[in-house]
Amino acid sequence: MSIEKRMLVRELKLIAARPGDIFKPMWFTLLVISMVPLALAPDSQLLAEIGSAMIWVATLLALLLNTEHLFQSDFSDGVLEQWLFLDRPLAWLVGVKLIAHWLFNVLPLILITPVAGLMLSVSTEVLLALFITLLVATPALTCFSGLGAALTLGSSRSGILGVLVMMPLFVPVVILAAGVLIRATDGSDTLPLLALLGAFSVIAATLVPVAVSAAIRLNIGGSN
Amino acid sequence: MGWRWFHQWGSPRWFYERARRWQLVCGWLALILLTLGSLWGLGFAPVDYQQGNSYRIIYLHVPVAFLAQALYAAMAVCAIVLFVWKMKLADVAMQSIAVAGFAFTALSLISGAVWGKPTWGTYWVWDARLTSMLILAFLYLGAIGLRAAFQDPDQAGKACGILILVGVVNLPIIKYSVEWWNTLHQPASLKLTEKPTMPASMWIPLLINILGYYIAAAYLVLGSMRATVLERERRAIWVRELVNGA
Amino acid sequence: MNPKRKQRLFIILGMVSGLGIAVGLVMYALSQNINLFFTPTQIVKGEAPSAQMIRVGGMVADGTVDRDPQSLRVAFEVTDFDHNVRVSYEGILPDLFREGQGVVVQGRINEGQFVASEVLAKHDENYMPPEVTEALRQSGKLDQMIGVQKQ
Repeated sequence: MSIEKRMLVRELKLIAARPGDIFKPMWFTLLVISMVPLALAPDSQLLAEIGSAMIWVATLLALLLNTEHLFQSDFSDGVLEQWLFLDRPLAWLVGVKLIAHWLFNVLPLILITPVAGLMLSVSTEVLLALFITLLVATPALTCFSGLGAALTLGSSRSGILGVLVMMPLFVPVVILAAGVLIRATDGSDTLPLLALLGAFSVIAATLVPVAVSAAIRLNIGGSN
Repeated sequence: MGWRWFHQWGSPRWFYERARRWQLVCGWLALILLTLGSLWGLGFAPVDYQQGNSYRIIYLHVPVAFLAQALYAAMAVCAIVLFVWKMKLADVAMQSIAVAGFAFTALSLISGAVWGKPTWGTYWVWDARLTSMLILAFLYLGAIGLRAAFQDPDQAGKACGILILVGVVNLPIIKYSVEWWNTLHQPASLKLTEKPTMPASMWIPLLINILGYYIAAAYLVLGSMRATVLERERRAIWVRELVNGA
Repeated sequence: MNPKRKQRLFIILGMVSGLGIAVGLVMYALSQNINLFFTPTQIVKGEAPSAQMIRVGGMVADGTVDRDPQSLRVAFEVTDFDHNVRVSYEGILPDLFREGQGVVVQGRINEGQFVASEVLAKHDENYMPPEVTEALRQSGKLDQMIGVQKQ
């Protein structure tokens, strides 16, 4: 079995050992979504108007929540150090880890958005656009919050810092996603914006693993 | 041999010994320029045909906003120097510039809000340039906060360097996306390549002030760098001698 | 080819193709119209979506400002010197609001009229003393200058 396949299997086994890690962010999203009508007004017209944006923000927060400690356990049990000795470039292994994380932890978050959409009476077309935007945008978000997690690995007081540091870099993603949702609401063409969003994700996926591997190297080198 | 001027910067002691003099020169120069420019701009430059006297905040707002962006670029250059030449002083500069940069960004946001009220009718709009300045402020905060989370200054410096370089790649994209999203701010009045869109009696004091604020920023950064060098090198013999001798 | 080099080649190829895909996607997006900001001409031609919050930018047309003395209601036309759009608004206008001033209005299209929820004055990048403005106005150059700036 190749190293990549073994990494994926290991991730799956870890999740099977602690399934709560997947469900907590999903639970979080649904809770945030159910707080919206309570805090605002149970007016379904209003909810439908802002619903898609709320779901987007809630999913973004949940994603940050479960990416915050992306490398923490691998760091403390020494797996990251083992990576340095493998005959693969570190950036490549980081890429595999990020893909695994996206598949097993982020994808479930996207899959529950239809439920959240029903709760906020978002129309089907907008919901479809929301779903596609999240699929296209989350790779970039996962990469950036992974970088935040890697940067703060060696610090004892990191807490939510990794997330805060990376938040400003999410701006283009959020703006473009909101543009797609607005266009979907009035039925105009969403493809050009989705293309830009996709471009951002592709660039993030090619370049960020290199930065993440530099961050991991410096944290492993400096902590002992 | 030709690189000597550059490699000298690798020695914190060399820097510390000279920085005091540079700082003194910068301090006086900034004081003279800022007094001249501000008095001229606030007291003697003509009023604007549309905005009346309220446009005079330009003499604070524009230089400060220039600096907010220029300092980020300077910080990125320091990050590159840190990674390529492993120069300790570059890290010290990064630390000092981050704080100064945040201060100037905050000042430009505040002065902009004060200016926005009489001209646009609101303190804050989610306009492209305002928003990208706000994000710049958050990026500076990130660099400051990330450094504070580490105990080892070398590790902190490298982590900040990575963050700053990623931010620099991302900044143009952020700017473009925010501009596409919403624009209300007027285009820049002073551009290096074009004739200014204001008369000389208005832009000369502005230019003096811009220069003055740049030099004042250099003064602040040098002062902060000197203090940081002393703190980081506190175990070095020359620092002990310096402190005990004084 | 030894495995190490093969690996490096794959990584470089991967990065280049990633950047290539990104450039392609951006080129495609830029070839389409992706604006949320409209000119009066676009509105008159029906290129702007109705029912959706949009922004219109232009100049307040001369002699079209119509204030209701009893309330804060005001109506005016925004022009780009080709077409005009009638705007109605209720609320306090910014100080810089006047005829011939550049404005950005945010709101929705409702039966051929633009109902604004927010009016923002857009001050231009020209700063000049009043006497210069007066001289320019007398020689008729001001309008010309502003006109050139706006196009």
